[in-house]
Amino acid sequence: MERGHRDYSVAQYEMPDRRYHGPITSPCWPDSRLHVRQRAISGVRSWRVPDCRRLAAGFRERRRHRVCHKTVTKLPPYFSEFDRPKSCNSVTALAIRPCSPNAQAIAMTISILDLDGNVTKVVLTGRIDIAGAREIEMPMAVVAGSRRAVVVDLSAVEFMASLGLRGIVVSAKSIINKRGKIVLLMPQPQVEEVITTTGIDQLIPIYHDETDAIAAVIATIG
Amino acid sequence: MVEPDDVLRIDSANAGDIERLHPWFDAVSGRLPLVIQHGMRVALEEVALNAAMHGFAPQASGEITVRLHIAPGFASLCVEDSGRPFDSSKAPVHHQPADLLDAEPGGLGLVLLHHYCHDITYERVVDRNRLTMRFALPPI
Repeated sequence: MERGHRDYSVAQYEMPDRRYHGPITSPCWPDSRLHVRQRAISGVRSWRVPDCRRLAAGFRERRRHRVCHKTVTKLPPYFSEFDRPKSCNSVTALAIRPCSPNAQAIAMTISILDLDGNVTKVVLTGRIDIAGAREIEMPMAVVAGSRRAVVVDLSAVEFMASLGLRGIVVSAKSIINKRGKIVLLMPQPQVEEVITTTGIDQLIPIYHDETDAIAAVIATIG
Repeated sequence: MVEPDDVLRIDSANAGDIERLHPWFDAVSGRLPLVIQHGMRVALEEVALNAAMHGFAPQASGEITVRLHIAPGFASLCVEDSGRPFDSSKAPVHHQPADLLDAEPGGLGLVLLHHYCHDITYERVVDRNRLTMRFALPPI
């Protein structure tokens, strides 16, 4: 298979045999070898999420290999890496896919950071437009299905309309259903205008200080 | 001097075609002041996406046409589609409930549309919906 010519979307992998610690090969991505370990390892932690045209492929993958929140390392070279923030304990990448040769410039990135106190910080960057909303749909669904204290950092989001808000509201409902808490952190003025105009800020609080945001979610989940 | 229209045609049956909307707006909005670009982009996404998602029967093919027109004092976006009749300018606006668990994920687009547009005009022209959104330009 020619590298980069396959649209792909995937969450993290967990082998059916939990004792397995070695490399695995994705059946939908046979030229790659993802290395799965049972505990967090320092080093590579988060990855740029490229354009994605087949989210469904990712969901098929999740059925085949149960999604877990272990750390995945040794990604193929077509992913860009970000430095690991000093303040977080571990970071997981929940959406991974090679770039399609026809894909346009990367519009959206998502990083998921596990902070102290079982708080998860989701950092979104770029534009949550039609393509961007699709990019974050699956990673946000995985976060919402597995975490109870979530801070969504919107400080680097340049654009968001109702489609992007819809994704956040769906995730928020899932988290609230688990007696969790989700807050929005430092949206840019034009993004905050969208949030406040729709009244979503009355349902999902906005904080402009990260410490306050983290304290708010910790206070809720106890 | 009135600028010529810039036109984008989208095939509603091609799910990926709608993603050309924002790159197209990037390309044609350079002449517009930054202060109104964001609102225009929000309104454009709401209208075009609504037409693509709800205007046509599943798998049915149709065309959505977007035009940008810049004139002295205002800019307008005209979205035409061959889908079922729908007047966004008069559709009831959805209000959020007080509780997140009661919130419906959809229906926010019309709120944003009315917030950002200075004027919205709907016409049914033959078998097409034509929605024209006008945005006031700040004085030079």
